[in-house]
Amino acid sequence: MPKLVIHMGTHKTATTHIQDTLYKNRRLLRAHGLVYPTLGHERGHHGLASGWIPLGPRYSYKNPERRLQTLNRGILRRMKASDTVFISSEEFSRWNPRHVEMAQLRGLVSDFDEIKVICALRTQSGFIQSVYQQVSDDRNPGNIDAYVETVVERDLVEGLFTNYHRLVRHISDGFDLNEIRLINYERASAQEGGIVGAVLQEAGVQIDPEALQPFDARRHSNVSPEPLATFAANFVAHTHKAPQWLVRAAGKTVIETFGAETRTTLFSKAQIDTLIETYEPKNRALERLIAATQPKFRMTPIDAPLQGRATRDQIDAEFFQALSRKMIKIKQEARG
Amino acid sequence: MAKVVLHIGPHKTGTSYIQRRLFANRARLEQAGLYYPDIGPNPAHHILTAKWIPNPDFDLSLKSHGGIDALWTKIIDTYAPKDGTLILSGEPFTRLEPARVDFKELAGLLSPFEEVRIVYYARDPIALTQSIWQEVAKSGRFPAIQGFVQRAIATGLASGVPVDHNLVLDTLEEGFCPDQITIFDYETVKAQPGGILQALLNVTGSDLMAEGTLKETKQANTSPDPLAQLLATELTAPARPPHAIYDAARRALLDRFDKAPTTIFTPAQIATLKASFVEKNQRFEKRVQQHSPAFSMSPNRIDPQTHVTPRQVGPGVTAAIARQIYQLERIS
Repeated sequence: MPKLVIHMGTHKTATTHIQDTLYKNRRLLRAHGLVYPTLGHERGHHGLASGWIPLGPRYSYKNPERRLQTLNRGILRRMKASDTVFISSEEFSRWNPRHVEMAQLRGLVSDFDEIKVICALRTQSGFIQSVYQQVSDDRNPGNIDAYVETVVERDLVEGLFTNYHRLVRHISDGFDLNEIRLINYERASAQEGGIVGAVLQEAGVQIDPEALQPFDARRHSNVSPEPLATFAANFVAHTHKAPQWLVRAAGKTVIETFGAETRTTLFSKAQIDTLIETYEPKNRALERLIAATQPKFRMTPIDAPLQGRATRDQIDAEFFQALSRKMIKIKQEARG
Repeated sequence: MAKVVLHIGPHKTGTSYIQRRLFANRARLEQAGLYYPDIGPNPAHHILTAKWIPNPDFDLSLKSHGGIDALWTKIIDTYAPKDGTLILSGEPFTRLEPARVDFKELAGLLSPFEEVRIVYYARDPIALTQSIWQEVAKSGRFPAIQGFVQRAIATGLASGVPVDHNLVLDTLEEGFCPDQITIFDYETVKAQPGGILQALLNVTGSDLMAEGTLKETKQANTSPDPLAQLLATELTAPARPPHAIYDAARRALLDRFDKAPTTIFTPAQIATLKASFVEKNQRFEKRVQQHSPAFSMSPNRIDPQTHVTPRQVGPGVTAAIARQIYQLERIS
């Protein structure tokens, strides 16, 4: 019987890149025994989670339960026993406002003899920061200290698990622990083949990731602003979404202040310490939970992605004066 | 024959306030035998210093008077024969750079008067230096404060205005005797009934009361908050900051520090200024006390313990300013 791989993200672990790449190369992958089904208009399979999680018209499927059942039967008829069906949506790993009932999901795909759930986990400092930056594209997340405090208190950022022990426990409500495979996102991204290679390896597909065509080179050229630029722009815009011109001005100010080579983080030193105190023990608990099936799995230390980065404490009075000068010039030029 | 009381400021000791009130009450003053001539182009007599300190702002007015010498002649001829007291007021009389009044020549010009009295309000040099910096910044220049402080200490001048009062006495005494010079401690007379204006009226010998007799005028130049002005000026230099930017800085400082007074000087600059002017102030006091034994200089009040200094302005304050600037619809 074909195998089913459910790639559940998580968010901000290059899931869109993975989905786009697999979609782009679905014919090649088919030749290597991996079926990346085309369901709906989107390249990811978010609609399969829409039976539990309201996703809006763009991502939802009309009858997601039926689609899952179709996977069981329709695709299977055309496949070999050695094939693998690969479905991917980071929405499977969401907790709030609604979450997938894992036992129900497991039931809907029960025709597959072998099921593997793949989750790439990003160390919480990078994860929370990345989510904050993405949210900032749509709205102002508000006071950063209150934001981080709430995340730490609830172990959720924008409804997504930051306590991965809880996440795996949630998945294991439907799937056995030996059906769950975790990937260290940072380690996978740094290795040859990158995160796509790591996911395909876990899926059991024998293919050189170099053979895969990139989906859209332009997409990768969109560089996110420096986190401190996002923070500064959000602070200045207060309750409003920071407009692009303000984010760009903040970005230039970050470069002038710290140099073009220095990366930044929106956390203060104290917040980094809090994240370490909060999540290192939880990550150890996660490692113990899956030790029987993945004895070598380790989460990247919380502070590892932040080494050498300028923290929020290093923003001095002159930083905002420099940003103010830019704003004044922009507003005067706009008026003129 | 009339007496003449020449009020020479200096800058930033309420001179505009005195001049506006005297100008607005010329008629009332004249009833009391005090003459405060209207010679343009402002409600004071700065124009009279054009004899020694050229200023193109006065050219048009001087033309209408027939030139500076004609103006001086008119003043002397008109008022010296009268009974009463001529009051002249102009802070440029104290300016020492780039040009200065020749007090010996001035004494000669005023010799037809029965008595000549020079009035000068001595203000703490640190506060004075700060005020002068603020005035310079208002005019569109933005001198670096460290250099401004160093020059004040080295030369006793801030933007050509004496902050070492000994320099004022030195130049005044080229033309006038020490007993013709009345020195007030600015902070002391400011706190007295009738304030700095009453002190000047008392020198004329008149029993006219500033309060209740002379009508009030609109508030003269009130100095902006020093640190707010500095922060705002930093944002727009070399252009002067629009009022909205100053307001943003002022609000941010109020939110953070409540109504604590502020200063443009760092603690180190305050300490340096204090150390430099201790001896100068003591020497000035002794000179004045020779004829006014009760005179003493008020101590400097600008202190890092009580005033918010630039060192205390952290990113919280400048971020609050940035936030307000972002919300401004227009910045002219």
